[in-house]
Amino acid sequence: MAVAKKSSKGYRGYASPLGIFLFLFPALLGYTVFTVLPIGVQCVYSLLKWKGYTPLLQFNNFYYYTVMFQDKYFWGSLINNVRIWILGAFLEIPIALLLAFILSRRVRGVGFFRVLYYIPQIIPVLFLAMIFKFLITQEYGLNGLLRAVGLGNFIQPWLSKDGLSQWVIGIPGTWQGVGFWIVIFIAAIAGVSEELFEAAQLDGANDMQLLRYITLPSIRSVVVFAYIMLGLGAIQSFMWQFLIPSAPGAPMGQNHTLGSYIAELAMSYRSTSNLGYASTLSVSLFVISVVATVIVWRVNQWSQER
Amino acid sequence: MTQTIDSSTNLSFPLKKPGIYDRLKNLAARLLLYIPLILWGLITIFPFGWVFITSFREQTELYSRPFALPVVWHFENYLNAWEEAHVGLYARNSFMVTVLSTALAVLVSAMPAYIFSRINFRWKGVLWAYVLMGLMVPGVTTLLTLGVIVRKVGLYDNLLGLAAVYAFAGVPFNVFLLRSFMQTIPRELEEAAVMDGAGMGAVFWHVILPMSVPALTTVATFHALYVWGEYILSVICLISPEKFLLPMGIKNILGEFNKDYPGYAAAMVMSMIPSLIFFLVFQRYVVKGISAGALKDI
Repeated sequence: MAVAKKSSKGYRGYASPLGIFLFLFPALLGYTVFTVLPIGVQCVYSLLKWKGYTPLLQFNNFYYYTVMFQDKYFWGSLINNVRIWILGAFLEIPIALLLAFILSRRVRGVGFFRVLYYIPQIIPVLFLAMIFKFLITQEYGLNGLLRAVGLGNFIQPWLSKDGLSQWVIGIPGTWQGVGFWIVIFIAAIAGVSEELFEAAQLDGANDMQLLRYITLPSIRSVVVFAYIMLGLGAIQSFMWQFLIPSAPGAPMGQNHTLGSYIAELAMSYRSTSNLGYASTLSVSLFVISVVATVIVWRVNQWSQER
Repeated sequence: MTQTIDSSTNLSFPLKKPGIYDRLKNLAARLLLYIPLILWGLITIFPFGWVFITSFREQTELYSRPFALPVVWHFENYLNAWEEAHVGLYARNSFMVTVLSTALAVLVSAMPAYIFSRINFRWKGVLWAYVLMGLMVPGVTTLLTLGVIVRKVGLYDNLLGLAAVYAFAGVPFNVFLLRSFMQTIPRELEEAAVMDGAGMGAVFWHVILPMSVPALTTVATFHALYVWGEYILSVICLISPEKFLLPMGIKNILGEFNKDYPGYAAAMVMSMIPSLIFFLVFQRYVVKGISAGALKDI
């Protein structure tokens, strides 16, 4: 009976409430202080009136939120977030799929190529950003190369020309991301039954047909998952836009995503910007991210139930 | 190569022996497959190759012929960066923070992962949802006020504090990954230990941790690579130049060196090499971690 009573209380045999508390406490405390609390504080900040750098304990009647909806940089940043997703959708995933498909075709050196393609993921992104910044913006980089091979007509202010720079800034992220998806897709393709391929080959299917009729349909759910994760990642993306865009001549804010807009304000709020407004943007990004994630979960559940 | 082709052709068409023409065609088709692989390999390598070559250049050469090999290879760029630009100092700081933060991250994530995977208690669902919520938080949204909080709790400009900030930033993801793994550890091992009189601490230390070494290695690998390359949080949490980590310190070099790009490149190469070596040694765990973490949800 004693055992039954214990289990009805929910503790597993040897576990004590104090023990459970002690095991959970450090991580939950640190997580609360360094992740949850900053966002909580920003929620409060975004609703207060500010005098210079000090918050007044007065409700601002959603003043900063109305400012945000009229801020063209806010909307421009959001559009850039969408651009990042589009770039990934049309370059990153297709390239990764093609290469993963080839690597799954009994070529030699799968391990070598997979590791090689993954390297951009593990190199400190600041350094990659500095390299790309030099290669793209300086006269001696890409433009110098174009001039040297006689394509001087194609020389562009790659990171400052409106309509072009917003796409160019996304290219390094695309370059970096391919290796990640290759690992995912190779694992997915490895899970497809080998008999399917052999049967199709016996029927005389060529490589393109194998890709079109066997591989892609078999890993469809993984590809859909990749596009969704790419979207969620695009909402949060900020690193490259934050680290690269200080190109001379680039109009302020043109290349920003919402995240890099916030990061820039976070770095400079003491000197130039308003912490109340920056908090408002930050809270908005958090809300957008949560809403998107919850929608994805719901749709996922719904599609699995059907 | 021919070995593979033979066996596969024989498998598909067991009755027909392939002629020399078929075999050549097959071989050509297979070589064709390498073209996209090598092409993307070159695109992947190009920025690294360029920065490597640049690190041996003379400053003026960078402007006149940025993509050619250096006329004279200036190995002293590395020595200058190491000593005059304090890369040696930053490397020591980075190494210390990486080691400490990784140890801390593994420990503080493994503890709750053990509770969430093995033990039932009231509020478990609520607390687990609270941890999972962290997976949805974009890293950039904590930046604004994190600096303020770090100052308030007395960890500002403190390398140990920064190591802790890194370790706790990864808690939701690391707990999530470790919990999934720990759920697969057989109950019998735990029960046998309890029969022998082990308490929670002993079960955790002598059963759960040793059984979870592969997952712990994965978490440690990801975390170490993350800390070694992290930039923005370090800018928010540090102010004294003698405490800078590699990315932050090297970003500062550009001013000090007065646009000495080759010295800058040498410093970057020196700090990329540890990442690269570490990844090559532990790449098995990285691949395992991504495939397990991502494909499990589908």
